[in-house]
Order: sequence, then structure tokens, then C-alpha cells
Amino acid sequence: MIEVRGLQKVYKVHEREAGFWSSVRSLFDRKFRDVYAVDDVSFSIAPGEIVGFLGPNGAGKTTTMKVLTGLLHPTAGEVQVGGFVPHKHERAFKRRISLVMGQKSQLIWDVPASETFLVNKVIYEIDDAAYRRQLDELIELLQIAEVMQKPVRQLSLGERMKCELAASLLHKPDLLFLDEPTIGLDVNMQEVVREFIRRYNRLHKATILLTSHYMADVAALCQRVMVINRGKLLYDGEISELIERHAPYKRLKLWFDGGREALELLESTLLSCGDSGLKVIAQTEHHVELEVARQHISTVSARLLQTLAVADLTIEDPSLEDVISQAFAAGVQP
Amino acid sequence: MRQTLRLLREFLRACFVEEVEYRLNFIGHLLTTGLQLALAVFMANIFFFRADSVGGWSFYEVLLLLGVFNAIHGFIEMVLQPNMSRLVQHIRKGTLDYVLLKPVDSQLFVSFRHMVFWKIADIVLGLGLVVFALVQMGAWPTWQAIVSFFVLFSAALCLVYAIWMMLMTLSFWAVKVDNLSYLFMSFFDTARFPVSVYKGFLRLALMYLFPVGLITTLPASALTKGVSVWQLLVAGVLALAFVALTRLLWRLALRSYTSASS
Amino acid sequence: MNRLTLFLNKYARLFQVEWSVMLAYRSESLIWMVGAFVQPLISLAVWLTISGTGSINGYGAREYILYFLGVLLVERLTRSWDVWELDQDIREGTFSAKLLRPFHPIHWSVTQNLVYKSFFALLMVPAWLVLGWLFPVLSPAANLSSVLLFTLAIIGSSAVRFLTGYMFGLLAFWTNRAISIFLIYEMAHLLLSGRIAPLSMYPDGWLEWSLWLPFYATVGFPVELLSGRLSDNPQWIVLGFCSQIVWIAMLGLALRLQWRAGLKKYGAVGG
Repeated sequence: MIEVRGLQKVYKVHEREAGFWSSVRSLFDRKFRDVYAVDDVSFSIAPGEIVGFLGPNGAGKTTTMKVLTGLLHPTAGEVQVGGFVPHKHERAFKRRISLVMGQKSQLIWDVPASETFLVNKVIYEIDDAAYRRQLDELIELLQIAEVMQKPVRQLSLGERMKCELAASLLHKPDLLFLDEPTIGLDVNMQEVVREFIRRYNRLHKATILLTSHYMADVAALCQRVMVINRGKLLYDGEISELIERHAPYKRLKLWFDGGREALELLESTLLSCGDSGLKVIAQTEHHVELEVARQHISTVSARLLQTLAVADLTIEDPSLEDVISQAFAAGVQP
Repeated sequence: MRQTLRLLREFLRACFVEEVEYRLNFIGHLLTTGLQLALAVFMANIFFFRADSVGGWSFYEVLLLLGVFNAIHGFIEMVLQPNMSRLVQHIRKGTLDYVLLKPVDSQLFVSFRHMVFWKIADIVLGLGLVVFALVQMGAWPTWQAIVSFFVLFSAALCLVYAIWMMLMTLSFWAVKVDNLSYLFMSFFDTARFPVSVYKGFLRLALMYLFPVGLITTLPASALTKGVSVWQLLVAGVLALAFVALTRLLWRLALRSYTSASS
Repeated sequence: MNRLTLFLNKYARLFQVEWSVMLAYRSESLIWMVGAFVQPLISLAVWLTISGTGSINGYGAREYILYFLGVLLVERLTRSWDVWELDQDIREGTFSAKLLRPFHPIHWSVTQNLVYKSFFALLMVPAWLVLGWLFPVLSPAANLSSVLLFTLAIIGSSAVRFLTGYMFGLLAFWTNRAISIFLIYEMAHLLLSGRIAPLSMYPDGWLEWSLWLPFYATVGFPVELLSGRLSDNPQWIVLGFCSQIVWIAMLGLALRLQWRAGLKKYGAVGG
């Protein structure tokens, strides 16, 4: 559905230095620098897939999205979306896609969102019955019956975002680009939007590319993620594999009946497991938190259970946030 | 006073550094200003093609007046417009609080913090046109005339500043003042010609109600027709009174602002 | 539904929406209208002073008053503000949202123009009818055919000024000074279109020049049609309309080319 080969996008940026005189100098002589917003990125996305797009600010996520929707021309490389070349601006292509940007609005500012819906209805040539059906569904799912009757400028960020989603989905695009769709929403609403996206994907077999600051969005929606940093695609694959590769450990939390004896026992037990890639994160009198390599997790926990009077024991995967930041720190290899 | 001057210099420097970033703006701006001035002169030409004098003013006298107009127009665009539109935003978004927390005079800060540096070309070119017209007329003014011109020109700047400041201060009481600035600029166009062009009630209104007559006609008269000590005095006193009035209004506005938002 | 109905549906809907947007800003619209009255009235004052009690080239006080009232009306009904809109849209990236939809963004601008112009017409035409009835001086010697011609000329002039305005607005793809560049053009237009003086006040030969440029045909021509000055000069009427048609064709073609180049530029630097 989406095919990207060797995509590259270069901007020219004016370099400026601080200070009065250097700014005077820059009047006559200025230096430009090429910035590779996206550099040699290739991937393909199958129909119906939801792919999470991860990376820090300025990593190239939005640039890639804009190239995929045709707003930006690639400097080099080939891009095909749904069989179209996006930057040719073909109408048939535009009818099949939608780009939702959390930071920017397509809603008409001074009138209720319902007016934008009506405009989109005629622009996308949606017939009355289909429009009614789709709108009713959206109103119910997003709970915007009242919100959509208020002028957009009076809406809260969350309310606006819901209307934004509704306006973008009236024409049932099968290619959906979501750039920070849950930004500024409260936890409840994030869950609603997430569920909504999942349902939309199932119902309309839509292909969805999603960026988000909230790992929970990505973890909940996507099987597959792409990690991008400084324009380079660093990882493309299953979330679980990313976690395994860059977080080859689990968190083991242990509560036990205290006392000096127990602490000593703990210490010696840990010493005996010294070669299991084991790290103490936190420790109190009755509680210890450990990082343990995946392959040793069962031996370590078994030994601890044997030697100590354990009150409780949990084993968790590290959070996606931790994995990602660790991955960036280590310099992920695709 | 010294503190005030230091601040003003710092504001000017800051806006210069900011705008050097857009160097094409400088060239573009110079071109725009030059062209606009040329077209204004051309426009005067058209009126004078059918007449030797307009409202009792000869061609070069009108040019001189256009020079004054251009300089004051430049002052508005360089200093007043950018700051005043920001003030409106500050009030609307509640960010005025940050300004009020700064250890400087708040009126000074909101009036002069942001300047569009390149517009200084308008002022320079406008005054250049004044000199050009004087040279063409061949009658070099006496030093008294020059002094009274500068007094009246400064008074005009004070008046324009005061009128703008008062209009913008109105936005504390929830009036959409952005439109007022548009209206002001529209009506300010009347100052392109000597007030003697306008008849009856209109002339009175332009002299005293919306005193564009004082703002361009009077300074221009200082170098052409001559002005009386009496007129000098009235303009000076009026300018000072207007500025004092803005001070009063600003205090009043702040009081209502701080009591409303707490 | 066939293509035309679908297309007209889009226009009708956009018109309704833009009309409510305009109503949300009605006080601004009124202020704009009043503000724009000042400039022609200044010119009127100057000409009245110059002519005094006599007349210049057939223009006395009555003719000047009628002429500049005509300028007032024509100015409001034909002027385009698209440069400001486009400049903001393109700079802030809201243009992207329009570009992503399967309907050319120019149609949004066209409807906006239709909305504002109908609003002004609704206010100004009745106002003039009442004034003309109260003060016979103000009523032009108009008959049905001249009103019809005037309406056509207004439409032509609006088209010319819209196309030029839109082209200057698209310059925002390349520069952040689109508005100042347009203001220079507007200055030339002010001088040469008949907005500050009937073109017969100009030195000989200026009228011909102005006819070749998109100036006289956009203001002086409709105003003179309305005031009845051209009624015994049919060849000027033909020339005026020809000038409008030729300019609409040329500007339309140029706009197409510029649009393509502009999209490329927009795609290169980001939206």
C-alpha cells in the first residue's frame, strides 16, 4: 500500500551566529548548510497495517508524513502511496487519504465544526446516505454531538481534536496519516481515540501510519514500529522484538520479610548469581528491584524463592519509553 | 531619564539584530519606500497638472508636506503599529502579566519594545524629501523656522503616539481595537494634503477632533508659510497634555486590569 | 448527479459557510468598508478645491461628486484581499489543509470574494438609491442598458483584480514580502486606474496607456459607464470590455503556470 525507496529530503538552512557584529556580517555574507531531514529511508507498509512511527522531535517523522501525503516533494527516492505518486496532487489520490495533524487544524475557525463537515461532504462528493451513516457513527464514537455545534475557536484542545478526526474521516479514507492525534487529550479521551482508531482500522481495512509522543498509543495500536532519528530509519519491525533487542532484561521486584539475616541472605544469593547480568535498581529493608537478563530470569527468581521468605514477586517488561531512550542512547542498528 | 534612553537604545539594537536575519527585507523595504515616495510625488504631479496651487499651497510646498507625512507615517509603522498590535495580543491572551512583572516602566515597555527597524528608511527618505523641496524652492529657511519645524515635528510625533496609545489602551475594556488601527491609518491619509483643502466642518474636525492638521500641515507650514509663536505654543502644550493623558489612561487601565484578573 | 451539479453544490456550500464566517466578523467588514471610503473622499475634496466654482475638462462640482461616489462603489465591489489571506494561509501552513482536499484552493478564494462583494453590494446599492432619490445631484443618468453594462463591467473588473490579487498572493510561496510587493502594484493601480482622478484630468495619452494595462478597465471604465460619460462613445465601451477580456485570458494562463511552479516550490521547502 505504501512503498518508499531511498527517500531523501534535504533543506537548506541559513547558519547564524549570535552577536551584533556577526549579524551585520551576515547581511552580506551568509552560510547555508544542508539539513538532511530524511536520509535514505526505505520501507513498505501492507494494506490494513497500523504502523507506529517513533522518534524524538525533529527526527523526520512529520517530514516523512508530508512527503507521503504529497505536501513535500522528495529530494531523492521513490514514493508510492496506494498506487499514486503523492506529489502529483491527483484528485483520486486525495479522496483516499487523510492527514490529521494534532498541531494544525483544517477546521474553519469561526463557525461550528459541523460546517466544516458539510463542506467536506460536498468537496469529497459524499452522498447523503453515506454521509449520514458515517457522521452518526463518528458522533457516537467520539461523543461530539454537542461539541460540533459550537464555534471551533471556543473548543478545548481535546474537543477540537475529536472534531478534527471526524472531519478527516467523513470520506472514509483507506490511507490515514495521524501526526500526534492524541496530543493534549486527557487519559480517558486518549483511550477513546485509540479505541476509535483501532475500530476504524478494522472496519474499513484502513492502512494507518501514526506518530505519537505517548508510547501507550503505539503500544496499544501497533504491532509494528519504525524508529527514526536524525532522518535515518533505525529500526523497522515488531514492537516485541524491539523490546527484546534493546531491552534484553526484565524488571524483577521482590518483597520479603526483613531483618538483617534476610538482607545477608539476599546479598549472598545475588552474589552467587553474579554472572546473570544482574543489576540492583533500588533496595530497602523489605524490598528490592532488580534488572535481570531475559535468559536468566527464571533461574534467578527460582533461587531467590528458595533462599528467602518471599512475600511477593513480580516480573515486568521495561516500559516502551525506557526501551526507546535506551535504543537511542545505544544507537540502534536496523 | 538615562535609564529610559538606555532601554530605548537596547530595544533598537534588539530589533536590528532580529531583522538582519531577513536581509532581503532591507533591500525590499528600501525599494518599497523609494517607490512609494516616487508614486506619491507623481500623484501630486497629477493634481498640479490641472492647477497651480492646491488649497493655497504650491507644488513644492505640497511635496514638503508629503515628506513630513512620509516621515510620520514611517514612525507609525516602525514604532507604533508593531507594539500596539502586540499589546492587544498581550491583553487578549493574558500575557501582559509577564510585562507587568518586569522591573521597567510598563508603558515604556509596551510602547517601544518591538520596532520594525528597516522602516527607519521611511523617516530618513521623508525628511530627505523635505530638504529636496526646500532646495527646489530656493528659499532657505531661517534658523527660527528650522527650530520651530523641529519643535512642531516632535510635537506631531508625540500627538500621533498619544492618539495611538489611547486607542490601544481602549482594548483593556474589551473593544476590538485592531480595527481602530486600520481606521486610523485610513483617516490618516487625509494628512497627505494641507488641511486648507478640506471645507467647513471637515476642516475643523481635522484640525481639532482628529488633529492631522497639527500633525503634518503645521510642521510643514513652519518651513513654508511660517507659524506664529502662538501656534507653536498651542501645539507644544497640546502634545504634552496628550502624552500626560496617555499616562493617566494607562494607569487607569492597569488598575482595572489587575483588579479584574485577580 | 452530473459534474456540474456537484461543482455548483460545492460552491453553494462554501458560500454558505463563508457567509457565516463573514457575519462573525461583520463589525470588521463594516469598518473595512468605511475605512475604504476615506481615500476617494480625499481625492474628491482636493478636486473640489482645485475646480472651485468653475469646471475642468467638463468636470464641475456635480460631476466630481458623482464620479468619486462611483469610485467608492466600484472600489468596494471589485477589490480583492486575497493577498493577505493567502500570505497568512501559506505562512502558517493552513494552506496545506486546503491543498490536501480534492478541490482546488482557488475556489475558496473565489467564494470569499463573492461573499464579501455581495455583502457590500447589499449595503451600498440601496444606500445609493436612497441618496439619489433624496439628492437628485447624486443620481446618475442611468437607464436599463447602462446598468446592465455597468454590472458586466463590474464582473469583468472583479475577475481581473481577483486574478492579479491571487497571483500576488501566490508569491508567498517564494517570499515573505508578497504583501509589500502587492502594495507597490496597488499604488500604481491607485494612480493609473482613475481612483484619484478621472483619467481625462491626466496629460494626453495617459488614458491610452492605462487602457493597455489592467488599470483603466478596472475602475475608470465602470465608473464612467455608470455616470453616462461613455454613452456617446461606443468605441470606448467596446475597448473597455476587450481590455478586460484580454487581461482575464492572459492572467488566467499566467496563473496556471505560476500555480504549477508554486506547488513545486511549496513542496521543496515545506508547508
